[in-house]
Amino acid sequence: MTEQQAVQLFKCLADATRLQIVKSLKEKPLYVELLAERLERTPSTISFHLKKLEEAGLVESRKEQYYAVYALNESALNDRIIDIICEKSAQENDQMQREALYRQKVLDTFMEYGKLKSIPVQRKKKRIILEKIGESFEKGKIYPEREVNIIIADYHDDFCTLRRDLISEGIMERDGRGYWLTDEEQEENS
Amino acid sequence: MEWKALENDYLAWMQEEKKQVEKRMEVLRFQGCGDDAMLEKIRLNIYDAFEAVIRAGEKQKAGEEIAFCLSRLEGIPAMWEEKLKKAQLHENAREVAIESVKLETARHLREKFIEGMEA
Repeated sequence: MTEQQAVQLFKCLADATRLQIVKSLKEKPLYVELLAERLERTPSTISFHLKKLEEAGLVESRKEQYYAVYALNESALNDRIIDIICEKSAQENDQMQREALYRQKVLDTFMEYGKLKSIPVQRKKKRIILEKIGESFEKGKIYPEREVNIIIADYHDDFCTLRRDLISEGIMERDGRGYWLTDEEQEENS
Repeated sequence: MEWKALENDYLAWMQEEKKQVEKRMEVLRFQGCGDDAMLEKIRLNIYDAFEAVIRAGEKQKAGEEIAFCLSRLEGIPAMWEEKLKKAQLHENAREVAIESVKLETARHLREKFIEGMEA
């Protein structure tokens, strides 16, 4: 179900009369006049609600002699609400794709054969590079400074600047024991 | 019935009817029946429109008030009949519901006016 379909579904059901119609049709298919009588509304009002339900895919109609009979489309209600909410939206997917492309572009621009050509000045680009360097560290392990320097030097000679930036960007932390990946970075690397 | 008495009785009756429509609208909103409340609001608008016709009747020449009001009470809904037919032709359920409420209300108000006239 797309996000647009989900919004249409929720909007459609956010009406007590339409909810009553859905409940009635769950029992059995009915025609407009009978629904109108049951719900104490005019047939034209019921038709108006049925049209909205039909547009949301919740009901289907068929002709029986002179009448239109409406039936509930139960498959439209089979998705759990939590699944509908947790589904990634099309916009979210587009955004993730754009971010992934941008990230790759930065890596292609600043790195060559696994080495950093230069340290980006722009913070957003530098962060991408630092995250890449962060992938060389194991989660949960505490590294002595000497080992951190060796790992970073594989990327670029200015390991001091990059080591300092890894701390200031929150990708690594340090104390008297040494350096380690922050929890956020551990989650991203796992 | 004479014009002044008809006007007073009719407007008083209309005010009572409007209160009931407003109450129904509030109840429907409270129950979560937003679209049905919207249709009652349309009904209320028709009451206001016809009230304006009756008050315009006051400004007519003496003896012409009733004829003026009757012609308006019959003429205005004619446009809605046309709209209803078009909506039915195009299976526009929303417009059918709206025009049906307007015509039903207009019929109710016109019948009451005629009843008062003949009293």
